[in-house]
Amino acid sequence: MVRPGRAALAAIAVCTMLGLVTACGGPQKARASGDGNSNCPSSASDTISRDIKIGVSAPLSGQESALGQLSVGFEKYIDYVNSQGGINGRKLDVTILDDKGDPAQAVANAQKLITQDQVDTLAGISSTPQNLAIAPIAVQSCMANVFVASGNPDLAAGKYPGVLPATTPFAAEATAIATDIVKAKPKGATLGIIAVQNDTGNGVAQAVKARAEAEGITVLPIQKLDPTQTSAPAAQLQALANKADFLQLAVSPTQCPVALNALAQTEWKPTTYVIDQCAFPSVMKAAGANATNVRSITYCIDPGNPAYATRADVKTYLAAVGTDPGVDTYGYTAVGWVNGAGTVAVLKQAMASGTFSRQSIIAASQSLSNVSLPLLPDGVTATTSKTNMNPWASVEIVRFGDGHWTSLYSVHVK
Amino acid sequence: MSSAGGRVIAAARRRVPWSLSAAVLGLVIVYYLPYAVLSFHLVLLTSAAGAAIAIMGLNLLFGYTGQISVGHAAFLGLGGYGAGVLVWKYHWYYLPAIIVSVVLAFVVGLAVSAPALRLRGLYLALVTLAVGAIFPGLLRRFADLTNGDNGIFNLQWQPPAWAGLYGLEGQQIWGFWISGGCLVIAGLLVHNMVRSRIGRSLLAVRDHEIAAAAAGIRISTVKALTFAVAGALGALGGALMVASIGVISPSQFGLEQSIELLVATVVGGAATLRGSIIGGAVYVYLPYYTSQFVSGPIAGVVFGGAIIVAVFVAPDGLDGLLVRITRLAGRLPPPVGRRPKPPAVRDSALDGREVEPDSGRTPARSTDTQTAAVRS
Repeated sequence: MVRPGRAALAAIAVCTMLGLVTACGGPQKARASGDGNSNCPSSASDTISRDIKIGVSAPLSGQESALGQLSVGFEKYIDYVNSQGGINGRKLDVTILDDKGDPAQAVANAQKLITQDQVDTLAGISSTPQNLAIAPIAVQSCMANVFVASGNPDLAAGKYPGVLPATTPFAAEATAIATDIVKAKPKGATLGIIAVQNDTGNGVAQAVKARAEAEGITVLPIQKLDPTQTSAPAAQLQALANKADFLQLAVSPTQCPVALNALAQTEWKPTTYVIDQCAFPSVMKAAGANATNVRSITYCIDPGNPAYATRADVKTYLAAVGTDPGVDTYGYTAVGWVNGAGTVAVLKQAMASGTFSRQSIIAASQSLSNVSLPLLPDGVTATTSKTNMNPWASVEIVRFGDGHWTSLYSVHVK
Repeated sequence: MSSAGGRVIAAARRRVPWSLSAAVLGLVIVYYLPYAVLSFHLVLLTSAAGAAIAIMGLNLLFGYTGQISVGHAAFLGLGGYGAGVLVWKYHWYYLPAIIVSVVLAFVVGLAVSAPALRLRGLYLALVTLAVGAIFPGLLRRFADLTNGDNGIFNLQWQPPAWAGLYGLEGQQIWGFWISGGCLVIAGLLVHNMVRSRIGRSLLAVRDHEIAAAAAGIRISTVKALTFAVAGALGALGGALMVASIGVISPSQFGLEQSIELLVATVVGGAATLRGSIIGGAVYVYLPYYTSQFVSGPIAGVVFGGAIIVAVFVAPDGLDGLLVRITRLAGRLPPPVGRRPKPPAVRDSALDGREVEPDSGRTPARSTDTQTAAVRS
């Protein structure tokens, strides 16, 4: 039997909770947006009149820590811009938090960056899962998230306003690879695919399969690879051996060289493509000579290629990044540099619009028009729209040899 | 205050247990805390509340019953994925989804308890380690249901319209209310459980199984029940963490997280309710503050170092340290304004040794005096 005292106290507790919630309202009522956009807090349209704060979440530790070099390149570019006086005299302040490659930690980081550090934009965040996890929060806060490392089609299609993916979309990568295969063997080509079972691996594999079949290429059943597998994909290679004349490795950067070394141990010698996240000299290094003639696609040049040594932007990059052994100068750092430059371009355009606010940064991210950025192939510029946030109209087919990637030709993908 | 009011309070004091009063106070604090705390710290507190619930379960198992578990994160994952998949794939409301996942974890906990009936110590730890190691692999194996390594996103428990909460901050406040409220209720239930006959059975099993069995305690029932309740609490904590963060992936429920939970239980304080709550804060805030000073791989080293220091400084956990400090504080001189203790008096009949005024006890002779007496 419930004693009267307990019942009374419980009743008081319930009444306190319900009464306060319904009668007094929550603490958020007074802060509801008044700008017509029910999803945006009113602060989203406030003019930013101080130095510009940029928030980055990156895998500085954990299994994906190699991708943390993206944030190194990003920060180096921001340092470079600050050394040149900033944007219209305003300095850029970057906060980089470690997400360990964990989407939940990336969400926690984004919440801290938005609510505590009060950044003006998110930028340069790596990997599809992290960006998909952050996207709803960014949209809810009217916070742009620009030049992020993801090729997810939802992001490229502008499903999340203000999210600008810099990585070549899966469909664009598939178009480029299918084009190259057809060019090499117009009829009767057979393609084998090994795909790591994550968003990127599956996304690229399915897109390549669909596009290749549309081009008349025979595609063998996709061989699946566990994301945690670090040993050679022997069973997958055995299943495809001598049945295909082209091989697509849609695997993680740590799995790429392992797979190439295992492939070299077989009698099978297909023309091999690696996913774009493997298209860096630092990734290929572990495969040594077995990486020679491997092909891929990329939207930025390899700054280590002697053919580009005289370019001014390459000289600036190499001078700024230096030869610190902790920096992957000829790898992800270069992409981070491009992403930093893209972010600065978005901020400049937002400032030029008249009102510089979080909402104007989102608007700028959706309306880039032929913006020139460093370390891009000649003639390639960044252009975006609300329904097509993929900034690259074309990608380069590249081949590895002599320790660097060489551009072969461009494929229009937009 | 009127005498009538005084009588009401006095009657309430007699009739209402302090634990229920503390729970009511806790609920009121949970409601008002979002007004006083910066929104990001509210996110951390929400995660800490979820972790504290899970650690309460682990504490029941490890602290009260002496059954070591190195795979507790699997139960968090079971709750998180149970609720998350029901919400994401089958469009359930969060409340029934959480209830179902907690019941499921209770049943799985019963199943996991089977080996615990025959094993103990290191062997039991190895079995639970296997459960923890297998779980992320199972999530990846059933990718059609769990979305594998891609994870599931956008799972936040959105506040209902009547709550008047909007935007990101509104969602954060709602998440804290839910998690904080569940922590208070779970704390009350666990408090009542450990203070009851069941709780005394747990301690008896921990301290001496044979003696407990001789006293009529059914060891198998106690162990099975503890594993089941621990699993259910772990699942509740996991489901609440997913509901507030809105993201779930296999990497959140690996062995690393299981070990961190065990460490947080020990550092917070085993076999105490306060220790579980402190453990929840340790689980969330220690990595957070570590990352404020250093980032990247070195953060893990500093985190580990901080744990070693904590274990050395507070071998009974931080809760034990707090208790020790409180007891020491009780021996300190009284604050200014309180009547000073009268000075000790010398008694010539006792060779000039001091007599403590309150007790009248005489301190023992010093070693030097004794030595001198032997020499003479």
